[in-house]
Amino acid sequence: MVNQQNLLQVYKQLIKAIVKNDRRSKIIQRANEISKEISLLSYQKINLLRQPSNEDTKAKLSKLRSVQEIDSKINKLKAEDPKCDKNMLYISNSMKTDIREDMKAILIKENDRQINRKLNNFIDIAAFLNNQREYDELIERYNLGSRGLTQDEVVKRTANKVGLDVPL
Amino acid sequence: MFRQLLRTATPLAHRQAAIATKRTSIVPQSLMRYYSASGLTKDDVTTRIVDVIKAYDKSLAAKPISLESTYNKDLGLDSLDTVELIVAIEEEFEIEIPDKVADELKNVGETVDYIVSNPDAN
Repeated sequence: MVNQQNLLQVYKQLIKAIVKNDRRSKIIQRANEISKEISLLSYQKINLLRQPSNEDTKAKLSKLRSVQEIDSKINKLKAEDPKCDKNMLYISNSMKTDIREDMKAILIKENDRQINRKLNNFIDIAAFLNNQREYDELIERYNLGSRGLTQDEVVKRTANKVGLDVPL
Repeated sequence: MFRQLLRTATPLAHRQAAIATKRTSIVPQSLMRYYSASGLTKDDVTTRIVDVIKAYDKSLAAKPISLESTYNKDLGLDSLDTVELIVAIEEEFEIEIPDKVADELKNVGETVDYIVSNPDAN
């Protein structure tokens, strides 16, 4: 008989694995987004300032206001720290509902043996995610600076490792 | 012969005295280290946990959260939601809360107390 405790444990393992797995990439992604938005906003600001200033006072005032608006937006973005973003601590809602529906369906339809098998499957998924994350971390630790290389660079480095050059 | 014995005895006494003074000097250091390691204050932990809870759901963001709010009744979370919340709190403070302890945490105040008492939390 599958008890509730068991189910909760499996759910916890799975959620934890997913959250840990996604969090780092989400943080990096958000940081990239922030820097992109900042550069876009500063570009807009520079464009506004460069416009010839032979307009009347009203137009000038509205221009000044929009520049101030852009400035405050930039400051807000700069103050944002994706590491402190609490939303990164949760899995996305769509994923959550998927997992819950799956579990519900299993519990209603299958017999005990099947349920245990499927729950083990969930545990395996969690273990896979954890191991994959650890593997990625180790790869990065042993090959410093390898993050963000293009495929061509990877090929070139691999060839160099065994004393070969990539033909141009 | 006696003189020789005395000669070996005096340095020994000196050494022991030196060790004794060393020991006394170590004690306050380790105490200090202990206090500086658990630098989380209760207020700090409370605000962080409340932020974590509010990030969970839009309906939670509007609700008032106090130390007495229970996850189940006041915040309207089911057991699966509570599990997610605990995982988020574990991630936030970089700790592992054992399942047995996690089952006992029924409201915000208990969680805050547990994290303040956990020396690994940061």
